Amino acid sequence: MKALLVANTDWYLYNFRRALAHRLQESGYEVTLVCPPGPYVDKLRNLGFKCALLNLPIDRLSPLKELRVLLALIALYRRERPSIVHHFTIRCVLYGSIAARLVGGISVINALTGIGHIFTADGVKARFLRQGVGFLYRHFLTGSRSRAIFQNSDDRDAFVDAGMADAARSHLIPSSGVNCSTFRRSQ
Amino acid sequence: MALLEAVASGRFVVGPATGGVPEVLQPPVEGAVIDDSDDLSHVVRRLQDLPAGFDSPVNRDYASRFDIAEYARKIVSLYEELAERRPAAAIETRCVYGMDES
Repeated sequence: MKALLVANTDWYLYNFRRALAHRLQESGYEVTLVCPPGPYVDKLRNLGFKCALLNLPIDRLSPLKELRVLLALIALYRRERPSIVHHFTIRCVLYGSIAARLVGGISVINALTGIGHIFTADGVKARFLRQGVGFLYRHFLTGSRSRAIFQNSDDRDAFVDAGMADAARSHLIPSSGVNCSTFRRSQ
Repeated sequence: MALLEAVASGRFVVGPATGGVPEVLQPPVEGAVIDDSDDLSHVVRRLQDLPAGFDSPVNRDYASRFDIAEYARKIVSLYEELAERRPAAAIETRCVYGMDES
């Protein structure tokens, strides 16, 4: 089975998700890492991972550029035909979930490491975005083929209470995993 | 994440009383939460009493609960659940930082 791990930076995948990618490979999954181009892409490829590059612009409020990201993900999912896509960080979660739903036949795991600043900020822009993102979350993050992973119960409850996640399909897994062999006291 | 990595290294860990820091820096973890300058001065005095090369097995043991191998095992279990279309919530969703979860 093919699995795509989608994140907003290459260093994030390299530093925090490569152990998971290895474990998935050991479990028989064909893993492709999806991220913007960067210096860690070659490191990931040197470890034997297939990488697909996604242009994810930094200036986040250009609707046209955001649409291009969504279209790029749709094209990628159509081309790769993964069984499972695993999204990290809010934009990948949002656009990736929409793309997976539109392409169809793809199971989705969304890792929500926080609820995002637009759900905590008070500004006019944040309130406006909150309405739109909340609407999209309610329509695209729920469903029988979708699972959400939260790192703490407060975030999970906030999403479930707002109808942005299904309680029965939400999982609580604290932290992103610590490599205890790396973080040993040096003598 | 950085906090747990520091705990995993066996260090005495000090952090501010904000966000998720107090959830991690509570017994049995050997560390301290500081809320103001009085707390800070108290912690500095306490640090002076720590032996050189302080290395807490309690902290390392606590961090091992969040080991990346265990995390990966849970995620792979979730993949299997989706692949086999098993009912949801088949993986363990146990406690967060020692607090009971229903």
